[in-house]
Amino acid sequence: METKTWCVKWLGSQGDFLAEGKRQPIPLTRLSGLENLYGIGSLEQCPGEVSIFDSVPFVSEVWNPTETIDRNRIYHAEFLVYAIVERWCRALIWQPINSEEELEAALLPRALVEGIDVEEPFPFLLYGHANRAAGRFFCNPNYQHGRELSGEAKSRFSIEQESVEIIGFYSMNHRGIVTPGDSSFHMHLRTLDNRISGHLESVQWDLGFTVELPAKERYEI
Amino acid sequence: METKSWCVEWFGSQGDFIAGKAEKSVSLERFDGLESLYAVGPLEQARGEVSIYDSIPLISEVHDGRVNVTIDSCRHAAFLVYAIVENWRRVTVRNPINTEQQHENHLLAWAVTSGIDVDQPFAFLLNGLIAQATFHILCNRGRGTYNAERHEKSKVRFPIANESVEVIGFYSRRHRGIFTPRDSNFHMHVRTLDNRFSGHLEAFNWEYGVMLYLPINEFNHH
Repeated sequence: METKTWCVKWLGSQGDFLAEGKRQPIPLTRLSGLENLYGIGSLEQCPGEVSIFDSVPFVSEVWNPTETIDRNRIYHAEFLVYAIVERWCRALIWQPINSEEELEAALLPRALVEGIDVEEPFPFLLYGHANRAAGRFFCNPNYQHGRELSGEAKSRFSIEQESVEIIGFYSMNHRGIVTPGDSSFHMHLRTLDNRISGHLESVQWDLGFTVELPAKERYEI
Repeated sequence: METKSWCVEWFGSQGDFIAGKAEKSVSLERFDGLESLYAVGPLEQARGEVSIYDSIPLISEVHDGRVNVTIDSCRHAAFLVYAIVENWRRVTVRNPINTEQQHENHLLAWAVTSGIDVDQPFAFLLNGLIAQATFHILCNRGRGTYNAERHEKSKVRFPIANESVEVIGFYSRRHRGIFTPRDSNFHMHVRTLDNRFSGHLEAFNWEYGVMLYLPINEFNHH
């Protein structure tokens, strides 16, 4: 018999965050002590992202060089989707993947093999050498952060020929909630040297990658 | 109760191989169709290295002093240690790991926590940004008897610096000279994520920590 030992949860919604609707920011300290935690979200009021890889939170923010960084600040997430996953099933995808459609086509059959209900949200990890990747340091491209940053360039990242890890959540039924309104994927990236982390918009893999999906746990009665 | 759904097996031995007494090489084709297979070993006649990651056989050889990596299941290994592992537990090690001893300390602590009997061989994976490393690829050009001296001379060493890599490793404190070298409890192979390099890992410096993956036991009996 198989049972699921993980589930995806979220606080707030991508839609509320973008619409600046009802807000109940949560301190990231609430999550401290939780093991095997993977999550992605947006920081409260400040343009920034939080990406949690195996309980390690990476916070990426847009800062004006003249601003002072408060190292004692407790970060709050406006929106957070997360899962606790202890067991992962790994597979090598040995083919170029250059679009969300191709990623979906590669991911869903493997998810089904792992007994994942693809109608419900599920997390995944990608690890490999990306040809190109691009994204933002905050989810809302229209965010008025009032910091007089010089143009959008400061809020975007673009990398080439780098090894990266990606935490992603897939849901075909939660657009505007767990994922952006125009996509079934919500993914955050970090470069392996932790130089960059943030919200992923596009990625191209010529050499394929390793994908990890929550493993099913089997019980014998 | 948990039971083990994976195990480490091997064909041939390092000792026989180095002593030139290896009787039969191991055809990689015999593993065709096996999923979730991980393996390491030297190519037959010590002409390169075999590293199998999730059933993909990477063959690394030295051509004109350069590393050449191909995917080829029509080759033979001189000896091969392997495991079929479907599911892994991931552990993020944040401390630097610069020696085999440090690596062993971390590995065993986490393995015990994961319910692995560390007196038996087990496989593991490492993923991360490696600050520095040295790997070798065997490049035996002779045709005469193979022996320990020629084995050492056949090693062509290459450095790696600040590269993102994957490592497949086998640990055993009881199989020195069988599937780990005589002076180590580890047999590890490394590949860069772009597959430019692949070979037998000798030394490493994980300055930024590493992601460790351990096999997990599959069944819970109720």
